[in-house]
Amino acid sequence: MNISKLRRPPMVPIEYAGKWVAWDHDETRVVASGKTFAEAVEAAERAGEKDPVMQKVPKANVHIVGGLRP
Amino acid sequence: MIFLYRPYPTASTTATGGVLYRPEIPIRVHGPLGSKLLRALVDSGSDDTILPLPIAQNIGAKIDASHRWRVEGFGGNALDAIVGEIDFELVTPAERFWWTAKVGLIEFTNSEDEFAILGHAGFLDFFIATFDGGIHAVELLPAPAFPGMRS
Repeated sequence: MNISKLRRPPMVPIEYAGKWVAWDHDETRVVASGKTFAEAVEAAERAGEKDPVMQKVPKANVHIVGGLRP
Repeated sequence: MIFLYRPYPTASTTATGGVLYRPEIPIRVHGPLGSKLLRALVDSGSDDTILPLPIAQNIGAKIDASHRWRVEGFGGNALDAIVGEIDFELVTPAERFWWTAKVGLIEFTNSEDEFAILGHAGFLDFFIATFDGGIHAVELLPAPAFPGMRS
Protein backbone atom coordinates (compact mmCIF):
# COMPACT_ATOMS: atom_id res chain seq x y z
CA MET A 1 0.00 0.00 0.00
CA ASN A 2 1.21 3.49 -0.82
CA ILE A 3 -0.06 5.82 1.87
CA SER A 4 2.30 8.72 1.30
CA LYS A 5 -0.46 11.01 -0.01
CA LEU A 6 -3.01 10.12 2.64
CA ARG A 7 -3.75 12.08 5.77
CA ARG A 8 -4.26 10.14 8.97
CA PRO A 9 -7.44 11.13 10.86
CA PRO A 10 -6.55 13.09 13.99
CA MET A 11 -6.59 11.53 17.42
CA VAL A 12 -9.87 11.95 19.25
CA PRO A 13 -9.36 14.00 22.43
CA ILE A 14 -10.05 11.81 25.44
CA GLU A 15 -12.65 14.22 26.83
CA TYR A 16 -15.04 13.05 24.10
CA ALA A 17 -14.89 9.42 25.21
CA GLY A 18 -18.37 7.90 25.23
CA LYS A 19 -19.90 10.81 23.29
CA TRP A 20 -21.00 11.44 19.75
CA VAL A 21 -18.80 14.01 18.06
CA ALA A 22 -19.30 16.00 14.88
CA TRP A 23 -16.17 16.74 12.91
CA ASP A 24 -16.00 19.44 10.29
CA HIS A 25 -16.27 18.05 6.77
CA ASP A 26 -12.47 17.79 6.44
CA GLU A 27 -12.19 16.06 9.82
CA THR A 28 -9.61 18.49 11.09
CA ARG A 29 -11.51 19.65 14.19
CA VAL A 30 -14.45 18.69 16.36
CA VAL A 31 -17.21 21.25 15.87
CA ALA A 32 -19.76 19.81 18.29
CA SER A 33 -20.49 16.90 20.56
CA GLY A 34 -23.42 15.43 22.42
CA LYS A 35 -24.49 12.57 24.59
CA THR A 36 -26.69 11.28 21.76
CA PHE A 37 -26.47 11.24 17.97
CA ALA A 38 -29.36 13.72 17.68
CA GLU A 39 -27.79 16.12 20.20
CA ALA A 40 -24.50 16.12 18.33
CA VAL A 41 -26.20 16.64 14.95
CA GLU A 42 -28.21 19.57 16.28
CA ALA A 43 -25.15 21.10 17.92
CA ALA A 44 -23.21 20.80 14.68
CA GLU A 45 -25.99 22.55 12.78
CA ARG A 46 -26.00 25.35 15.36
CA ALA A 47 -22.24 25.61 14.87
CA GLY A 48 -22.81 26.11 11.15
CA GLU A 49 -21.56 22.72 9.97
CA LYS A 50 -24.13 21.46 7.48
CA ASP A 51 -22.49 18.16 6.60
CA PRO A 52 -20.46 16.99 9.59
CA VAL A 53 -18.73 13.67 9.91
CA MET A 54 -20.47 11.97 12.81
CA GLN A 55 -18.58 9.60 15.02
CA LYS A 56 -19.35 7.71 18.19
CA VAL A 57 -16.24 7.75 20.35
CA PRO A 58 -15.74 4.56 22.35
CA LYS A 59 -15.54 4.84 26.10
CA ALA A 60 -12.07 5.65 27.43
CA ASN A 61 -9.70 2.80 28.09
CA VAL A 62 -12.08 0.20 26.67
CA HIS A 63 -10.75 -2.18 24.07
CA ILE A 64 -13.31 -3.29 21.47
CA VAL A 65 -13.83 -6.88 20.41
CA GLY A 66 -15.89 -8.16 17.52
CA GLY A 67 -19.63 -8.69 17.47
CA LEU A 68 -21.24 -12.02 16.67
CA ARG A 69 -24.67 -13.25 15.72
CA PRO A 70 -25.39 -16.55 17.48
CA MET B 1 -9.28 2.74 -1.68
CA ILE B 2 -6.95 3.03 1.28
CA PHE B 3 -8.02 4.39 4.64
CA LEU B 4 -5.67 5.13 7.50
CA TYR B 5 -6.69 4.00 10.96
CA ARG B 6 -7.63 6.62 13.51
CA PRO B 7 -5.48 6.78 16.68
CA TYR B 8 -7.07 6.85 20.11
CA PRO B 9 -5.45 7.58 23.44
CA THR B 10 -5.78 4.72 25.87
CA ALA B 11 -4.30 3.40 29.05
CA SER B 12 -0.90 1.99 28.28
CA THR B 13 -0.83 -1.79 28.09
CA THR B 14 1.73 -4.19 26.79
CA ALA B 15 -0.44 -4.51 23.68
CA THR B 16 -0.98 -0.85 22.83
CA GLY B 17 1.70 1.35 24.34
CA GLY B 18 -0.84 4.07 25.07
CA VAL B 19 -2.30 4.48 21.56
CA LEU B 20 -4.94 2.34 19.87
CA TYR B 21 -5.39 2.44 16.09
CA ARG B 22 -8.83 1.52 14.77
CA PRO B 23 -9.84 0.93 11.14
CA GLU B 24 -12.65 3.45 10.83
CA ILE B 25 -13.78 4.65 7.45
CA PRO B 26 -16.07 7.48 6.38
CA ILE B 27 -19.30 6.17 4.93
CA ARG B 28 -22.48 8.01 4.02
CA VAL B 29 -25.89 6.57 4.86
CA HIS B 30 -28.91 7.71 2.86
CA GLY B 31 -32.62 7.57 3.51
CA PRO B 32 -35.77 9.33 2.36
CA LEU B 33 -35.26 12.13 4.92
CA GLY B 34 -31.63 12.84 4.15
CA SER B 35 -28.15 11.52 4.61
CA LYS B 36 -25.44 11.49 7.23
CA LEU B 37 -21.71 10.98 6.93
CA LEU B 38 -20.39 8.61 9.61
CA ARG B 39 -17.12 7.16 10.74
CA ALA B 40 -17.72 3.44 11.22
CA LEU B 41 -15.44 0.65 12.37
CA VAL B 42 -14.54 -2.01 9.79
CA ASP B 43 -14.79 -5.17 11.90
CA SER B 44 -13.90 -8.53 10.38
CA GLY B 45 -15.01 -10.17 13.66
CA SER B 46 -18.58 -8.98 13.26
CA ASP B 47 -21.09 -11.10 11.38
CA ASP B 48 -23.31 -8.11 10.73
CA THR B 49 -23.27 -4.44 9.95
CA ILE B 50 -24.74 -2.69 12.97
CA LEU B 51 -25.94 0.88 13.39
CA PRO B 52 -27.65 2.63 16.28
CA LEU B 53 -31.39 2.91 15.66
CA PRO B 54 -31.43 6.75 15.98
CA ILE B 55 -29.28 7.07 12.86
CA ALA B 56 -31.77 5.08 10.79
CA GLN B 57 -34.63 7.11 12.23
CA ASN B 58 -32.81 10.36 11.46
CA ILE B 59 -32.51 9.54 7.76
CA GLY B 60 -35.93 7.88 7.54
CA ALA B 61 -34.60 4.46 6.59
CA LYS B 62 -36.99 1.58 6.11
CA ILE B 63 -37.22 -0.32 9.41
CA ASP B 64 -38.85 -3.69 9.99
CA ALA B 65 -39.25 -4.16 13.73
CA SER B 66 -40.91 -7.54 13.19
CA HIS B 67 -37.61 -9.01 11.98
CA ARG B 68 -35.26 -9.19 14.93
CA TRP B 69 -32.33 -11.25 16.10
CA ARG B 70 -29.81 -11.33 18.90
CA VAL B 71 -26.30 -9.99 18.57
CA GLU B 72 -23.68 -10.91 21.10
CA GLY B 73 -20.12 -9.82 21.70
CA PHE B 74 -17.41 -11.31 23.84
CA GLY B 75 -18.64 -11.95 27.36
CA GLY B 76 -22.17 -12.83 26.32
CA ASN B 77 -23.70 -9.37 26.49
CA ALA B 78 -26.56 -9.90 24.04
CA LEU B 79 -28.73 -7.22 22.44
CA ASP B 80 -31.76 -7.28 20.17
CA ALA B 81 -31.30 -5.99 16.64
CA ILE B 82 -34.04 -5.16 14.19
CA VAL B 83 -33.60 -5.04 10.45
CA GLY B 84 -33.16 -1.80 8.58
CA GLU B 85 -32.60 -1.12 4.90
CA ILE B 86 -29.86 1.43 4.33
CA ASP B 87 -28.43 2.99 1.19
CA PHE B 88 -24.66 3.25 1.64
CA GLU B 89 -22.20 5.44 -0.22
CA LEU B 90 -18.44 5.14 -0.01
CA VAL B 91 -16.61 8.06 -1.56
CA THR B 92 -12.93 8.68 -2.09
CA PRO B 93 -11.36 11.40 -4.25
CA ALA B 94 -11.03 8.86 -7.06
CA GLU B 95 -14.04 6.57 -6.76
CA ARG B 96 -17.61 6.32 -5.55
CA PHE B 97 -19.48 3.16 -4.59
CA TRP B 98 -23.09 2.89 -3.53
CA TRP B 99 -25.28 -0.03 -2.59
CA THR B 100 -28.30 -1.00 -0.50
CA ALA B 101 -28.01 -3.42 2.38
CA LYS B 102 -30.02 -4.81 5.23
CA VAL B 103 -28.33 -4.07 8.54
CA GLY B 104 -28.97 -4.59 12.22
CA LEU B 105 -30.32 -1.60 14.12
CA ILE B 106 -29.94 -1.51 17.87
CA GLU B 107 -31.71 0.69 20.38
CA PHE B 108 -29.19 1.01 23.16
CA THR B 109 -30.31 1.64 26.72
CA ASN B 110 -27.29 3.88 27.23
CA SER B 111 -26.09 6.03 24.35
CA GLU B 112 -22.52 5.66 25.67
CA ASP B 113 -22.66 2.06 24.47
CA GLU B 114 -23.63 2.89 20.87
CA PHE B 115 -21.38 1.89 18.00
CA ALA B 116 -21.40 1.80 14.20
CA ILE B 117 -19.82 -1.36 12.83
CA LEU B 118 -19.26 -2.47 9.25
CA GLY B 119 -19.23 -6.26 9.50
CA HIS B 120 -19.59 -9.05 6.98
CA ALA B 121 -23.29 -8.89 6.05
CA GLY B 122 -23.94 -5.58 4.39
CA PHE B 123 -20.32 -4.55 3.97
CA LEU B 124 -17.33 -6.92 4.07
CA ASP B 125 -19.15 -9.50 1.92
CA PHE B 126 -18.94 -6.93 -0.87
CA PHE B 127 -15.28 -5.92 -0.60
CA ILE B 128 -11.82 -7.43 -0.58
CA ALA B 129 -10.31 -5.99 2.59
CA THR B 130 -6.62 -5.96 3.40
CA PHE B 131 -5.68 -4.84 6.88
CA ASP B 132 -2.08 -3.67 7.20
CA GLY B 133 -1.31 -3.45 10.89
CA GLY B 134 2.23 -2.29 10.22
CA ILE B 135 1.14 1.02 8.73
CA HIS B 136 -2.32 1.08 10.33
CA ALA B 137 -4.24 1.14 7.07
CA VAL B 138 -7.03 -0.83 5.42
CA GLU B 139 -7.41 -1.23 1.68
CA LEU B 140 -10.81 -1.97 0.18
CA LEU B 141 -11.46 -3.22 -3.32
CA PRO B 142 -14.88 -4.18 -4.65
CA ALA B 143 -15.41 -7.94 -4.63
CA PRO B 144 -17.05 -9.77 -7.53
CA ALA B 145 -20.15 -10.01 -5.33
CA PHE B 146 -20.40 -6.23 -4.95
CA PRO B 147 -24.13 -5.64 -5.55
CA GLY B 148 -24.16 -1.91 -6.14
CA MET B 149 -22.92 0.74 -8.53
CA ARG B 150 -19.58 2.45 -8.92
CA SER B 151 -18.34 5.49 -10.77
